[in-house]
Amino acid sequence: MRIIRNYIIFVIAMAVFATIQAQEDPRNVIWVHGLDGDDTSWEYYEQIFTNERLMNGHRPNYNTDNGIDYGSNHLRSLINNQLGETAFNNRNIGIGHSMGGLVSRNLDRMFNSNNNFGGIITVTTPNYGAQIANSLLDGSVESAASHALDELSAGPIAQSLPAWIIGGISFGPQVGFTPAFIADLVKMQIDINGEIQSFAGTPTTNNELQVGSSKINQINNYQSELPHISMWASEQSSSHWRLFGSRISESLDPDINDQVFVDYMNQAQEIYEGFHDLHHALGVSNSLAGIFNPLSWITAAFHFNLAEKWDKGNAWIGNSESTWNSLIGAYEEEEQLVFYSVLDCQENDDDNNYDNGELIPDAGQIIPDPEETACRWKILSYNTTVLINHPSDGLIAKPSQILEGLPPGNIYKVENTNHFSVRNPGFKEDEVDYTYEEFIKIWGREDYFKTNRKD
Amino acid sequence: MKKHFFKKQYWGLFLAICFVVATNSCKKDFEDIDQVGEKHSGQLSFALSMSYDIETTKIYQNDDKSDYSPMDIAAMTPMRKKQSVLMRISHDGDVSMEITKLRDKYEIDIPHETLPEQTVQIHKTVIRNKRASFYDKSGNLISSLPMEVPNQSELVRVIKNAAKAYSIEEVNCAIATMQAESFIHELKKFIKMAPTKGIKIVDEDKKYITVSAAFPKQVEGPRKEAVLIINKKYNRLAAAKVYENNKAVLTTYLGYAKNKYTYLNAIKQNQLERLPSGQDIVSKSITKIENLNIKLSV
Repeated sequence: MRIIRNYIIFVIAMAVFATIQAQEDPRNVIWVHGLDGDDTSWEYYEQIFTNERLMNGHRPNYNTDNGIDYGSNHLRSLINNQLGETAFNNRNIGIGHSMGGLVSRNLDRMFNSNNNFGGIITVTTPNYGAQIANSLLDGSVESAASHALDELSAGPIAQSLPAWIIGGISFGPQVGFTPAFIADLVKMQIDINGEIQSFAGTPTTNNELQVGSSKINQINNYQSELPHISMWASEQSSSHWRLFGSRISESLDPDINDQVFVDYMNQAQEIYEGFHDLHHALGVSNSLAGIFNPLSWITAAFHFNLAEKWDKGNAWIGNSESTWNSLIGAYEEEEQLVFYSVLDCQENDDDNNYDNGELIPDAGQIIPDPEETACRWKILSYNTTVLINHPSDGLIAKPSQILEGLPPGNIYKVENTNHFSVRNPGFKEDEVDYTYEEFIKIWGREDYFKTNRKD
Repeated sequence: MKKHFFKKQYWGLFLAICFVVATNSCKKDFEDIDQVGEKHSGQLSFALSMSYDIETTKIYQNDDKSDYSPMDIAAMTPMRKKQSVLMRISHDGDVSMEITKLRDKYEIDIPHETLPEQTVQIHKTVIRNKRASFYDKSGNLISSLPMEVPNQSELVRVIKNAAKAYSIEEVNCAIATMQAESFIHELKKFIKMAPTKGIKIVDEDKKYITVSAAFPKQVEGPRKEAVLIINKKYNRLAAAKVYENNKAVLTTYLGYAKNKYTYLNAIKQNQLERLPSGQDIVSKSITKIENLNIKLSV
């Protein structure tokens, strides 16, 4: 009896020892890139945590051109080759950025009885589809890009009219006058349009990434038994400029980052507004000069026209974040009360008898002459529909980034970070590494994801 | 007791030092146009100085947004701004401007649910010497960019010619009151010579005359024409329409109020715009002008 008891105690002790020992063995962490990435995409964090934690980091470079199933199969064969006999260890974690999260979840679905992963972390993954894919396929992005170029170039083109003379008065701006800054901005917009098109990937992959695609539905209908964590990123306004700034930093110019790009666009808007205000003021002053020489009234009309051309670019920049959010599905339509001032023109001088009709007449009617009526300013209001911007990482709206049904403790928010900077803080100006902070919390959990430090 | 006395002295000295440091550290980076513009004693260095406060609201004519895509709705976001404008034109036509954002009680505040922007906001723009400089609310320079504005020597010439032909009192009176009956013969002269200058008389009645003039054709661009509606009684511009390929793209109405004097106090504009989907819509801009102040030095 005593021998049996001792044996049982020995077996239990060995089991406990083996468990503790297993937790001290490095675990495999497979960092899975997204649609736009390769084996360098996760390099920054993979190297940090491989050095810091009990983990072996791997960054397979799988094919993203032929859809999600092809990607999952290719990823699996790379994992099997690279990890050898540890390829099916249930302590293996898959960390998927963007499409990489879908590919990892799909691998789980396809090979659940012989899985490469024991747990999955999705990072800014479009778990329920990427609306930008729908917008690229239905032509909305192309319409938006074309509209952007039209609006941004309206002012500069109108301003480059040659000077001409009527009645001895020459007016019109100098020949070929376009500020270099604005020319650079229009060129940059063309570059951005090119980058946006690159978000699409191949038609095969883009089709599968759409909201409502059968592949997305298939992945989400599968009931995984693995533990999951969703890391989602929330970028601050202006989220679209920050996204593009980080993208440009990665692919075109490392001296640009998210903040540099935001500053650039803010200044651009001020330049457009400055030209609008300038031409508006010149319209007013030429209206005045027309008293002495009526030909100046033609100049006034010209300047008012120029002012509105520049206002197109100003308004476009001001509305661009909402426009972008309409393309990525991070918005909601709501009613908004708007106040505006109008002239209330009485038919007689009696202060107590106002005519409360619409006060500045519609097109075709002149504002009433103050000699005949007495006009006063009045505030009116009306309701109109506006777009409310909702949280996103600049590319994927919040609801798609977070797997439904996860306990709140399995959802991690990476603040002030966009879709690209979430995997490399070098694309942002901010000195705080929000992604690192969230990963530290994950490694410090007391469950499957716990991964101790090396020291 | 002595302890308290010394403590009070110490605090007084500390506060005095703080005050001196604070006022010096609040030194503004920008050079006020007023200081730059009035350097020469006895003569102002500008020919025309104009300042005013404006409050502009831009709304869209079609309030039923149900037929529009979200992208189109985004493009139709209403806008409201209030700012103070100071423009100066020198004797040789150089333009300086200072545009300061003002707080508006009826600001349109759309309740976005994104993290707010943490960037320093531009509060004032100064355009001078071929540069646009941007300042924050404390007057600190944020950045500066090249910005060359068209020379306005022609406008200065028109005003100086008027000053040569008439007394400065008549000119100032015309500007102050927006009344130009003493210059009505200029309008008559204009109507008479218009056909020889390619300007068409479109319509005329007791109160208004309507004329049209073509803008020069650009190599790539629409054919543009301006149509002016002139109030004959007061010799002032009532409205201006711009057509592109025979389509009205912009209509500007000028409103003049009367107090002690008549003054320009309203501009309404209807503008034809194209939405991202390709649909056309008309926007209405309503501008209220206050504190209009014009100075001439010819």
